[in-house]
Amino acid sequence: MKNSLTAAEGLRTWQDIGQQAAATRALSPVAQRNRLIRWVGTGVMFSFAASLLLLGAWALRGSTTAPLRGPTAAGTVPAIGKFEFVTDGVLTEGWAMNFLKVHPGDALEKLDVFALRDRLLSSLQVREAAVERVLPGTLRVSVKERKPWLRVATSDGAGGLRILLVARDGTVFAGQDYPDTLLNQLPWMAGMALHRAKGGGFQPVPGMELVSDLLFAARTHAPKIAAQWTVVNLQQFDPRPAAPQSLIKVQSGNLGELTFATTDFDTQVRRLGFVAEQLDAKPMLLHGLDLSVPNQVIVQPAAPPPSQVASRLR
Amino acid sequence: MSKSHIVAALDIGTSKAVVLVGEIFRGDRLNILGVGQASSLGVRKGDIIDFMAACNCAHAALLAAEQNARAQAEVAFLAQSGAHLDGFSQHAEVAVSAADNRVRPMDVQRLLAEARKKELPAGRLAIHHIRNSFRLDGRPVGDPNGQLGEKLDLGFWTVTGDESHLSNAIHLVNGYNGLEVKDIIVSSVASANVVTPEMDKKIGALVLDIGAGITDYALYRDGHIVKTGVIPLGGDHLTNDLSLGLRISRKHAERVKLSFGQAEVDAQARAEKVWMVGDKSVGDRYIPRLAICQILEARVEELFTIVKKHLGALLTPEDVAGGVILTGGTSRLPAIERVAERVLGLPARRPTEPAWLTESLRGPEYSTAVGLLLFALNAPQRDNSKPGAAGAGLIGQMARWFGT
Repeated sequence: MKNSLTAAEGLRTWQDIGQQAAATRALSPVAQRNRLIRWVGTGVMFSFAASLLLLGAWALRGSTTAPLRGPTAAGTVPAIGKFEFVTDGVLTEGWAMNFLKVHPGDALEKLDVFALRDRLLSSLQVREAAVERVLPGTLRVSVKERKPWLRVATSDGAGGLRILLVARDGTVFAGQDYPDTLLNQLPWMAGMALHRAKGGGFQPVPGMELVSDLLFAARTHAPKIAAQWTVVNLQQFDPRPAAPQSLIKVQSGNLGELTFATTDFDTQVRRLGFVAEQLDAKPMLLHGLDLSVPNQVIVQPAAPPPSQVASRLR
Repeated sequence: MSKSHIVAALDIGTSKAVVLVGEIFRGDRLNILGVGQASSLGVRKGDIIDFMAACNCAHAALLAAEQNARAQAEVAFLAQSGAHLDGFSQHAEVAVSAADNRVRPMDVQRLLAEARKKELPAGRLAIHHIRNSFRLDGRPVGDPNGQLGEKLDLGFWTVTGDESHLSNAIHLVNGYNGLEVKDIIVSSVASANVVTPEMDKKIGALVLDIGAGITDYALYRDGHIVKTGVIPLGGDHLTNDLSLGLRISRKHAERVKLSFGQAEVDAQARAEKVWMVGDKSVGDRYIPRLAICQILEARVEELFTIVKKHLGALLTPEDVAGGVILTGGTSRLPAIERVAERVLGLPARRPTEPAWLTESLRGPEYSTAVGLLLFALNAPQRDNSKPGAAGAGLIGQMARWFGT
């Protein structure tokens, strides 16, 4: 080891002094700290790698052992121990089990949850459905139901009447499990013919969203008045949005026939409420109220009884 | 061989110990990673007089530099100064042996062997054996092989040091966790390497490294160092003179030197008076600046006169056309270059620090340590093939993670 300026051979140089340098140097505090950081970093890295390996092994074990729990392994097939039914409507767990034809004790693995879901959706009362297997032994069915806004009477084909319900999206369905009190509050739909669908049932009623909006506005702003509505006549109703001359006529128990335009239901209903209050203060017999004319309400008094007309003529 | 080596450059001066930690990458790139300093104790005029005190200071500076660098030095490059250093010139000449008077390699070998025929006195060890340029019939030549001439001559400048002083310095470094001294460089050679432009080395230049305790010098001619030396005078002597001349404490004398000192008396200095302490406390008093400058000028003149005497006939404007370059902490004294010019009869200046140095390392007090790192950069790289050394590849890498 000669310094770069030295080329002296034979001369005694400073390199002849024996150094006490360590072959492997003792670590300085800086190096000790660096080594500690390296060790901790390496430890963390190895732990992470080991965790990944273990996780991978566990996942592989899960996938390889899964067939053992299948139908071929006798005695290990999980069965439906619990049936969970969740709905936002009126359908019951019993209806669901009957409709789906599943029973406690059925093999859970054998169930085709997609077929079950399709079967649920075949009931027009069900708008959305989900069927899940929750291992080890639970079948969970969740549905969202259509809400009825109107009812309609149709022939049952055997000379009798069949009551069907109309949802907001126009779907005509046979209501299940609805209490009579709720059904009796629904107005009847009139003035629009139902058309049969190819696969059975009826085609959706066009423009029902507009009708539902009117019913919703009435139930919100004038619930007492809405409760008196018995028939919604759609004879002069044009389902196209903002169609001219489109009218919805509602038969009310106390206010006669109410005529609504198909725009701005909130204003019309508030005006109706105001008129109803005035009529409460000064009762009079009405034929109906026409609310379809902008900025006014046409009050149509009922015709006097024939006896009163005759006395006037005299 | 690994790609990078961490080296420490250690300059243990009279006033402070400076350590730079650098990374030599692939043998051709230098990154200065950290700097550490500590006030020096146990060192007088460059010589270690209290080994333990000097150890503590040097180790504190090493530790600070390593912490700053966040790396552990593998080897150290040590600057050496002090009155124990000496030097001598060796001269040899041979007649060109070939009949056609063309220099053959054999002639060069004979010349080199002749130049090395010198025994050192007992207790002296060589530090540098600096080859000067070949001269063929009196004219300098780079490579004499194949050139025509009759007489080939060569000079060497050999720097020697006292064995016990060098041993102390080496063991001081070894005491820091077994840190090995890779090379010892004389301070003047190290600092001159940094502050002297290549052109000035060729046309001749004198580098004066004026430290606190001593002044090192190195004289370049034809691109080679032809003489080095140490003069036991430095900034501390200026402080002492002020302390004695003005009858003030050393502490105040140092402050006065740094705040108001000037190496030459000028018109402004003649008229001005300055406060000794400056806070108008009890004992504080006015001092004529003229007195300060006169004291400093006398001592600085003496310093340069000694330098001139040391160099003698070597110091001619023709041979030292590059002038005098002043470095070291005391070179910060205002007007010192004017005194140098007047006494030495040569243009004098402060060096232009290399642009690649960071601002914080451009002071003259760092020139020696930076010069050491430059020597480390040009030194042969350490052989890693010793038994037990971690090898390359994945296993070696993993072993290094665990610090083995």
